[in-house]
Amino acid sequence: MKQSTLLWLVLIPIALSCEPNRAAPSVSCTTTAHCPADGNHYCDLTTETCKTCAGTACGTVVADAAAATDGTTATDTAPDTATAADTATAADTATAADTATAADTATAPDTATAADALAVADSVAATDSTPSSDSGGATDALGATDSAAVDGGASDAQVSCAHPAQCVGAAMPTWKLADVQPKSAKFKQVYGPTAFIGKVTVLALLSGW
Amino acid sequence: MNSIDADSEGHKTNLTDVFTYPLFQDVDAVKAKEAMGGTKDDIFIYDSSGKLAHYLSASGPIDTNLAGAGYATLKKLILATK
Repeated sequence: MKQSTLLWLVLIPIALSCEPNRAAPSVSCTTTAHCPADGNHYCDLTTETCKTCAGTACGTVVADAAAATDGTTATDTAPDTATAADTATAADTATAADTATAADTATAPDTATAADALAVADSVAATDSTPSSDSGGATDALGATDSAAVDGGASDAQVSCAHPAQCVGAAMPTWKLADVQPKSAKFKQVYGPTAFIGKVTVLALLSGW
Repeated sequence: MNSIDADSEGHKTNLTDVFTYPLFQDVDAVKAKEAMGGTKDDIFIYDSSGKLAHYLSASGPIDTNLAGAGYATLKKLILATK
C-alpha cells in the first residue's frame, strides 16, 4: 500500500469524526428573527448576538424570550399584584385596562387587611390604655380573677358606657347638694364632689330606707 | 349620696349613724343620681385628679356588697387608685 493511500486511510476517519463547525455566526440581533431561521439559533438578548441552541429547547427559549419581551408590563405587574395564575390570565386575555383592574382587585384585599390591622391596633391600644389608666396598682392589689373582672369591666365601660358619667376617665360631677352628715366638718353646707379633688374619692349612691 | 326617695330624717339617720363621712342629700331640683345615670348602691371611685377611675355598678360583675366579698374588693380598688 502506498504511503499516500495510508495517509488517506488515516485522515478520512479523523475527518469524519470531526464535528462540523456549529459556532454561532457573529450576528448581532435584537430578536430571534434576526438569526438564521434554522431552528438552531436564537437571539441572546443579553449580548444581542445570535447563539446556537439545541432542538426543542431552542424553541422554548425563543418563546419565553418573546413572551417576556412582549409582556413586559404583565411581568412587571406580576410581583406587585398577584399569583402567577392571575398574571397568566391577565397576560393571556386582557388589555392593559384589564390588567389594571386585576391589580386593583389584588390591592383591595390588602387595603382591607391594613384597615383591619389598624382596627385591631386601635382596639389593642384602647384595651391597653384602659388598664394603665385604671392604674397598675389595681392589678397588683387585686387577685387575678378580680383584676380580670375589673379590667374587663373598665374596658367595656370605656367602649360602651351606659352613661357618660360612668365612663372611666369621666370628670367628677359638678352638682352641689347639702351635706346632711352631722359628723362632717361641712355639715349643712352645700357643695359637691369637686371639693375633694386632690384626694381619691368614693361616691356611693345610697338609700337610707 | 342619699336618694330623693329616702329624704327623711329617719332614713338619713340610718346612714349617718353608721359612718362619719359626708352625706349629700339628693333633691328634685338637682337629681344628682339621675345625672350620673346610676342606680342604688352604684359606686364611683375618682382618682385624685377628679377623673373616674372605677365605676362599679350594683348589677355589674364585681360584687359591691360591702357586707360580703365586696368590702375587700372595694378596699383594694380604693387603695390602688392614685
